[in-house]
Amino acid sequence: MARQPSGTRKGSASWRVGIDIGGTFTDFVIVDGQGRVQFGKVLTTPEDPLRAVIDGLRRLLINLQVDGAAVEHVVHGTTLFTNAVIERKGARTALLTTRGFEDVLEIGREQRYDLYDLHMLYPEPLVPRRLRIGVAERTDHTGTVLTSLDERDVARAARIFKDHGIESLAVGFLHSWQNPENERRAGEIVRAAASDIEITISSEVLPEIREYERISTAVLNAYVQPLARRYLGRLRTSIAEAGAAADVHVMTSRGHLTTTAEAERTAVRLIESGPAGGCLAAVYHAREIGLDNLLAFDMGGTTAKACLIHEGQPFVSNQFEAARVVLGKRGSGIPVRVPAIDLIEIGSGGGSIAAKDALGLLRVGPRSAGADPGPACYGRGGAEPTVTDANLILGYLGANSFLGGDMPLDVDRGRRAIESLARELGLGTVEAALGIHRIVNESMANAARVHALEKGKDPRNYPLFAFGGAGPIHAYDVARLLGTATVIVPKGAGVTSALGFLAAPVATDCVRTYLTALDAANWQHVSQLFADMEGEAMQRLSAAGVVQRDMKMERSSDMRFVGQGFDVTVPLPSGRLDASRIGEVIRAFHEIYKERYGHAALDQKLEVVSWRVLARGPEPRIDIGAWRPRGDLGAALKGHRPAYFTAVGGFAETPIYDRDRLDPGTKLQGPALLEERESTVVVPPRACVEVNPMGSVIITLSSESETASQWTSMESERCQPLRLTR
Amino acid sequence: MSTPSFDKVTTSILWARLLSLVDEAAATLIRTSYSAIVREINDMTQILTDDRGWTLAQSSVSTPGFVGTTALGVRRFIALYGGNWRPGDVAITNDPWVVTGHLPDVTIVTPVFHRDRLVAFMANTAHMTDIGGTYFGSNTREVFEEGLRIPPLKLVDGGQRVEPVWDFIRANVRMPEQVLGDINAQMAANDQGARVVAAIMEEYRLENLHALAATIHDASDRALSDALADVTEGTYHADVTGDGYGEPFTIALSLTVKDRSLHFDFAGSSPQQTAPINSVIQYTRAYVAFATKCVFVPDVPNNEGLLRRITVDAPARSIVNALEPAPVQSRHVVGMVLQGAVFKAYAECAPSRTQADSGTPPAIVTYHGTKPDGAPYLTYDFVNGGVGGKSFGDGRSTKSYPSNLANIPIEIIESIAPLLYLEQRLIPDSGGVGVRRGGLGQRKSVRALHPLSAVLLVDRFAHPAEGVLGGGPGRAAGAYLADGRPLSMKSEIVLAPGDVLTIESAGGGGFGAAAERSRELVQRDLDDGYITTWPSPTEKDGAIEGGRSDAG
Repeated sequence: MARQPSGTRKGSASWRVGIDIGGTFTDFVIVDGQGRVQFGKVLTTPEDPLRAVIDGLRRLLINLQVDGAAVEHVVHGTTLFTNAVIERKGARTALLTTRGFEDVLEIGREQRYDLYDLHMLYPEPLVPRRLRIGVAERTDHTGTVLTSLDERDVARAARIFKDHGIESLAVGFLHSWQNPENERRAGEIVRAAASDIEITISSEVLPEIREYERISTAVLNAYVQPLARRYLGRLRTSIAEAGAAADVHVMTSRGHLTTTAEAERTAVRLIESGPAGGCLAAVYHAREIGLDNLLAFDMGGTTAKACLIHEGQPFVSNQFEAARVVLGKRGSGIPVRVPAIDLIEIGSGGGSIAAKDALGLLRVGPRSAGADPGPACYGRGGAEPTVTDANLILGYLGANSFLGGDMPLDVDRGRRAIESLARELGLGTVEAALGIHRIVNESMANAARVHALEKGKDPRNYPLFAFGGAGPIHAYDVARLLGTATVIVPKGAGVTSALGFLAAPVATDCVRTYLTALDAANWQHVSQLFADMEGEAMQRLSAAGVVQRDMKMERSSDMRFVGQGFDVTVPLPSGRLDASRIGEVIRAFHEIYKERYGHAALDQKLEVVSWRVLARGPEPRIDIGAWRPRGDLGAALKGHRPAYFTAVGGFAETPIYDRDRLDPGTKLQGPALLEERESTVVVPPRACVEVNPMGSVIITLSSESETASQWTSMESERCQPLRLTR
Repeated sequence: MSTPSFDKVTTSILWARLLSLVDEAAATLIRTSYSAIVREINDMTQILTDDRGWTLAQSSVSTPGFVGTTALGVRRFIALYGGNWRPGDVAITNDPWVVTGHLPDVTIVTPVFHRDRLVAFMANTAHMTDIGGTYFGSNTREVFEEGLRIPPLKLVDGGQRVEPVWDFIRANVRMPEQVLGDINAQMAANDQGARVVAAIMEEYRLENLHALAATIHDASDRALSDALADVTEGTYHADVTGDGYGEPFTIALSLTVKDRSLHFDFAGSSPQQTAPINSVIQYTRAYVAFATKCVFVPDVPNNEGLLRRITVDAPARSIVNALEPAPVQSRHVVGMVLQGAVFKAYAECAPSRTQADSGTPPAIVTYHGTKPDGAPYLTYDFVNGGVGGKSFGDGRSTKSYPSNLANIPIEIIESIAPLLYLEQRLIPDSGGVGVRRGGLGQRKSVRALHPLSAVLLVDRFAHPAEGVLGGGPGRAAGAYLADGRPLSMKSEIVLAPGDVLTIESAGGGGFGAAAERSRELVQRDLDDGYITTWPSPTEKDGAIEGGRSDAG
């Protein structure tokens, strides 16, 4: 556990704790009233994840001599709900819908996610056909009720739900985005008849046009809601048990904090809460370093994730997919129409398996050895060669320094696994290991490049912010392939997500659909919609403890050219909205449209589909700069080991530094390996490293041609001379 | 110059780079396109060829009709201009008989130079917002009615725009800004890819792409050859009939498998029609190649190597090798029916890999008219059918196959047009019976709230998808009015307020004998109401029947 920071006294300060439950470790980040940061980490307890939370939190508070009463907030993010959907461990769920449209949930949008694969699997609907029950009722697109709700139908359905032992019900009727009356009434009837069934009303989770997306989102909410309620209830109790009197906040997929009460109501917003943390950490670091743009690159055991931070903010999408059948394959998941940080997932991690493919070539991933059995060198029964095995052979990982030496790696097993593949391919062992390393770098860089270009962004302008267990090993080469000149590896690269939780503001968002041509909009109606949404948002923020003067409201609308099927979210001016401001709105649309698509047809008419409010509290203050020096570079030098570098065409005897002992301001030149407990930064020859005041390692990529002249003068005696062993 | 050879790692890396660069160019094209069809349905493709016009890489976003076709355009240009390419040249065509078989698809070809030598071509094809002529879906009788035909021409010559070509296009399309904007987007995508090609060649010190092409093509060809190893040699016949306009048409196919090569002979297929469904030979070949890739090498990226073992013969002036001036606008109708014939032939020689025919093409209804307030509108409803069963699973219900068009949400259609949907439901028992059941079709019923026109394009109503290897046929598609008025499946009808139109899409065919389907799967289907009855394993037992609990 971390040391006690100087000058902090217990009870008076308001402490905040971020907790991220990962596959192997549960990470803690604690921030004191002055914003100073410390890290902690305990083993995850898979059979009951909250046990590690209690133990870890208790130990953290004791070590730091913090009175539990001083902990103001605990912020939590988890992949629990994603996993529940993937593993189909959610509630027994049913759907009540408009008669005639019971199959909308199954029919979906009718697209295939692969043009050629006849074998492809799709996510089965979360509610089987027999539990999708239609009732007589109908509202039209103007909100007029054409057929009033047949309450006897609903009562009959409620009996069926009871008979089937349904725990959770989604109610999704056509055009409820326009008039929720029938949905709400149906919910009341079921509630009265079967009080133990939890109920999700589609218009409350998502009052937005498009029946499939709304119903699918409501069903997913219903599916995870009972689980979320139980889990979050226990989390609150656990934190109290650990001696903290804190409010618990939960991270949403959008990267905002919400109260547990709100999270229980719209559990669907928590689905992607895990990955959001890393993106927010990147946002925080970008701000601290003074960079507008970063590419957050998180590489763990089974996957890598990439997220563009543009002008200080991640891209946000109004829809994402849960539980993709094929990792990273667009269209293979269940659509969830709630805002989420827009990131891509790539099937490349430390556990990715290398094999010869049908073309006789070397392929890496997407199959993964995961944590169990894990890479061959873990010695837990894995025999197939993985990226981690290759990194061990190449000297990037130390056999005795992995996880701070707690987990010795078996070099022989790793080598044997690679050797057998090398023979199959007619390659040498080192050649094969290098091939694995390079191919995995290529696939991550290719995916990140396509992601950037889809947004119209040039990846060369985005310094790489690398974290996760494997990120710092691969960061340099991925950056080189992307053409960016800088790599930033934060201190505590293994607990970056938990830090991100603490950097997030409390926030909430609302949406209403009012489909109208922009020049024919009824602005009084629009103002009413915004007033409603802003009232609702303020109420939610107050409930989360945000005072009114700290609340910031942002309006936007989903707009499009008349006739186009896709929308662009455009910020709207605040204050009174009326026809006199149409020009402003059109300009804002054209600007965004042009930025995203490179052009905008200025003479084409616009229409608005939905209207949105984002309300947020203040940005929390954290200060990772409390990193204090511990000694000179000599003291940080742990030893040497041979590591392979393409630039020298072989292994070079490479100094290994303890990252915890690198002072801010330290400059050194590669080759070097910078080890911390959970990750190793690989610095190739001639690359220049500087440690910034936050303890982050900033690597400037060498450019072959200018290396000598640029760096000779800057080399200090701290830079280690390059020594070749072979 | 010695031919460089690539080790397996370098080949993997370079190949992945090429695939990435075409996907990156495709992302740019999709992002900057004005065409909703490109942006939303991705009706486009991006390729990289070497200097001889052989495809090295094709974007993963594409459509079946673009397999191998865009490269034919590149090779036509090579034949036309020989070695006379200059940096800054860009060529254009939409000639149906040169490239992809109908006028809305515009192909743009850009030569790639490295160290002052022609080394490659970047080329793409995209479906324009408009190409002049009659509206898409019209019953044209000659290609001349279908819009502007651009012969192979230089659009930019050594960096100078050839203005007369641009002027001609501008004068012949309805939305010139958008169409020319899309052409600019296509050129930009090619340029972006060209820069990456040059950078890769510099990094790996390649003088040309021939050796890399040979490596990629050989590996791809070998993968197909390996997959063909267990296919019994012989000639296999497969006929599939579609309903067409006024008269049915038949695709007659003889597939000969010999020495791990595939020869497709379409002799006996219907003559070309004076209806816009005719397929040109290269479009026919694209669908043959598409089905072959699906069956044998779905994971191998498209390139010229996958086409080496495929030869296609079709009688001139047949519906699968239509000649001028045949109308071709809705050629997808024939393309989609003919891919079923290819799968049917594979059922004979590679049964474990194939699938039964599908309920495709989808029924398409175009609604248009004016709203009560006088505002005009036009919207489509795509009613997709079921996919055929296959050895490794049931066919999927209601999927856009083999193309990939998303449906338009009912709430959106109702907001655009004065329509009220009464139903969108799977049709029980519409999938062909079999060990693997065909996917179900769907029923959509809609009531007119105001007078409007509906243009119907429904096929597979008299000739549903057949099953294979003993599987049953899928249910036929259909369209009818609640008042019983007779309806032609390809016509424009007027709906009065209160009229109810019902469209039923076709089910997929079944795979294998129904009696061999596991009892558990039959029971599951009964419980969920996908079926209400099932042929019994032994004839004496009669059919299995079951119901489904329902509140209604």
